[in-house]
Amino acid sequence: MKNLIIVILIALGFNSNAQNSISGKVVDTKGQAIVGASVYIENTYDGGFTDEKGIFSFNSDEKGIQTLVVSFVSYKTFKEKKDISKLNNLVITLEELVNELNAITITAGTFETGDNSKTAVLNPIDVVTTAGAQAGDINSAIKTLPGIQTVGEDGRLFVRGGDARETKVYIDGMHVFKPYLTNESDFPTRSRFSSFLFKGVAFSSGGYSSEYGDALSGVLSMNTTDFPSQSKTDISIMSLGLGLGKTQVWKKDAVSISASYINLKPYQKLFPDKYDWKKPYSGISGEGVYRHKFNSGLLKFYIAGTKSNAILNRYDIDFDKNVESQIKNDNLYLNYTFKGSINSKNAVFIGASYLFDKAKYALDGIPKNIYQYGHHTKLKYTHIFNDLLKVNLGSEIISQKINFDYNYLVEGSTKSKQYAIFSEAKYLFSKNFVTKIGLRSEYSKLLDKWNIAPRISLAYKLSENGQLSLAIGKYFQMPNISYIANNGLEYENANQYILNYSYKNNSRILRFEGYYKKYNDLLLISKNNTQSSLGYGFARGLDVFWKDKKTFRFLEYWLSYSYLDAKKQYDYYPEEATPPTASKHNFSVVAKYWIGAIKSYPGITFTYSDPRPYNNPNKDKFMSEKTKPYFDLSLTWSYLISQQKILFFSFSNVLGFKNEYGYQYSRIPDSNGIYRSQLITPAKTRSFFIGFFWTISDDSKANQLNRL
Amino acid sequence: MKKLMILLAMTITVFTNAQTPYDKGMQTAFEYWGKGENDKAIATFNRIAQVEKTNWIPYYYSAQVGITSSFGEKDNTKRELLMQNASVVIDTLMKIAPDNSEVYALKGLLLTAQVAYNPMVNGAKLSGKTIMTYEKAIALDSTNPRPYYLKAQFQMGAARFFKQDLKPFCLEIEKSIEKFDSFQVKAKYFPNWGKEQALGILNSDDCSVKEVKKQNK
Repeated sequence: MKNLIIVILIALGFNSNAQNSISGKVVDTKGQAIVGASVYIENTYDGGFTDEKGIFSFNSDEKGIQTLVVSFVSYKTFKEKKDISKLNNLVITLEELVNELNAITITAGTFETGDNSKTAVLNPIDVVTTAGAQAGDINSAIKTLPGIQTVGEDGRLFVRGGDARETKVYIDGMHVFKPYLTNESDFPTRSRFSSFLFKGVAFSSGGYSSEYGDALSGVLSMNTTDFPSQSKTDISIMSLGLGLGKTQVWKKDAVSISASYINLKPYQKLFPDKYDWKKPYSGISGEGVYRHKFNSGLLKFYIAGTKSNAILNRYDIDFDKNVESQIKNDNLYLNYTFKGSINSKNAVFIGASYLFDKAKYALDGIPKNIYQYGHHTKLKYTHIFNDLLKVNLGSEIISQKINFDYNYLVEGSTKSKQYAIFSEAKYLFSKNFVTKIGLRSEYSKLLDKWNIAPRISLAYKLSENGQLSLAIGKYFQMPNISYIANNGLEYENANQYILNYSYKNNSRILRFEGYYKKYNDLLLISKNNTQSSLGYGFARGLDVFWKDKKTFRFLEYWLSYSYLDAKKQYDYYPEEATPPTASKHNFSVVAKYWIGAIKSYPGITFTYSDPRPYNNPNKDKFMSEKTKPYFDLSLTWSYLISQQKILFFSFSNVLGFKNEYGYQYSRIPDSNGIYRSQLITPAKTRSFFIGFFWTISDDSKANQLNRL
Repeated sequence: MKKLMILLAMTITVFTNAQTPYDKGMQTAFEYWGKGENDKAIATFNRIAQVEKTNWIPYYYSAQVGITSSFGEKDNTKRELLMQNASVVIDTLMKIAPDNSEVYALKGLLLTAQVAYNPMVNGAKLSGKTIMTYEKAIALDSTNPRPYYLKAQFQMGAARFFKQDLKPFCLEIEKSIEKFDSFQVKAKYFPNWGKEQALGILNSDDCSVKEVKKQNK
């Protein structure tokens, strides 16, 4: 045996008389041995692996200056150029790879829905299958997240004690000026946009990036699908109307359009509500997205339009009789965006959006028309210095114009233009520690005021799945421009402080978030209608979220609880008070269960909200009355007929809770000095929805799962 | 699967006597794979690929090892990493071997792995793309049996979920067996796998037993 080895050694020696031995040890930054790292001479077959002690050793016939490469999964590849004879007894330290994919992300204030398993709290299916008071509304799943108050008579998003106008909506990074349908008062409105064209929604209840301005409480950012993979046709037949969607994909271009016709007449006939409808709501709406792929960029064009009409007879407290009320609304929104990378380090974003909205109201034959125009342009440049540091710099212009006329007598117009610059730097200290520092500055032509908004957020990983995030920042917003009458008003603003703990593994999420929001310079209108920026207030609270899809097989559920304590003096408030939209305790549970045997996905949503305050002008104390608590238990049932066909039922307030939203009072007291009152209740106690959705694709494969 | 790999490695070992560094490297890599040392197999294939800059085969196996081992990986972080690294390798493959039917079939397998990893999210998002990728592989080379078999297998998964008839897919797999039988490798180490798995499905309850049951009725 020994002889044999000698013979082999000699034989080898003949072949390579100048063999170099390459050896050393590979360790991580803590000095621990890295086992199984691949070590080799670049452009050669010569190499080996490190053993249990991190040691490697191999021979090479190469000569002269060579590059030694050490690589190991999730570590930065190490390279060293040296004379090959000196590549022995090396001690090589590998640094852990830190990049967007494995590094910590900041969770303070943000909830993402989408298909990014790392950051998403809800997936796209959750967004469309969550049972709720409003079937098919893209916001209904968002409303089950903590930090949002249930305001049954409205339907918009009320975030952490803020008004609806404190939460701004964006599509593909561009401002959406009127995200909700124009409805009769006390009818909950819904989003204008269908979930069909969007791939992900990010909702922030505070601490958002300096890219977003003109919002004191929240940002809802929706992104359209970048480039669809296949052509298909979607047909929907619903209890409320019909819908048609079509996606056509070419090599570099893709178009998606969807149109729907809603008419509540048949539904109202069968299941009348408490109102006398002369013309139940009918409307046509359409959306379209066109994308063009460049070699290193994507151009998107998005358009959405609605045309609606409704007439009803309802009791009006000021007239003290039934009067006819009509709302006609035409809305056109469009935006285009271009995202392009100049090279691997530099990227640009260019976008513009436009709004035209015409709302014609007629109350007892007296017309009121409101015309709204909006225009937003944005430019953003991103530079990636390295894996750890990324900086963006941008500017935007937001213009808005509101014209109104009332009974051909009174006319008015307000114009607002804001210029803004923003910059944000994200720096990763390590895989476990990240910070974002942002600065935003705005100038309002209408107010003739400047502002500067610094924002900072940090996240630190405490354990494998747990992390702590902190966000502090200043947020500005224009006072309601349809009110602004005099000069000298300030930007409304809020200081936000947010502390978040979140635990996330693949099947469970737990989040606690405490916050404090201090409002300053809010628009305050006195009894004699003088405006000032003396309004102020605060909101503080705790949001808890728990989602679990592991404990029970086929069952996925989440719980949200919000505690909110808010007080403000703003608007027409004579003193500091809790706003009517702020309820102390909000709680919701969503559960969905997959029953394979009958191809069904039933879901249940329970919502509870504490009594909310409202003002009774017959009482001395302002905002001293409280509504009854709010309960809702809603069910959905998705039945998959086949991969292409789905039947969807939704039934809201199954148990028929008699919810009340407080009282409405007449503007002027009657002869006895009493303000007449009227109880506000939902138009219907229960409501239901049935829809049949059918996808026809070129390869007969695209399925309804994504609409389920 | 593992068995087949060992068999494959052995076959290759037997038929390769010329010991070029390339052969030696490939054999070492196949040995690692055979022993289940997948990370080392991947690293070795990658090391060969950095020398053989225009040869797509080492990268093909690097990605194949990564994808196939991801299916059984229990640690989710590791599983994501395997798929992610395979995806990077496939992007490179698309550049060095554009319009290669085998590469497209492998890309389809990667998409399948992603669907299997997170069916609720990726099922809806990637199913169509997966099918289209397999179809592209078929369009590029209709004699390649792998995309036929892989596509049918993927569609069977969805059909089983929706409790649909599996028979059409069994017929597709049968068709792929014919293609496997007439398939000729075009180069040394050319991909030549899948027949055993295809036969496995054909002989499983999904295809054969049901057939028999129906006939008995």
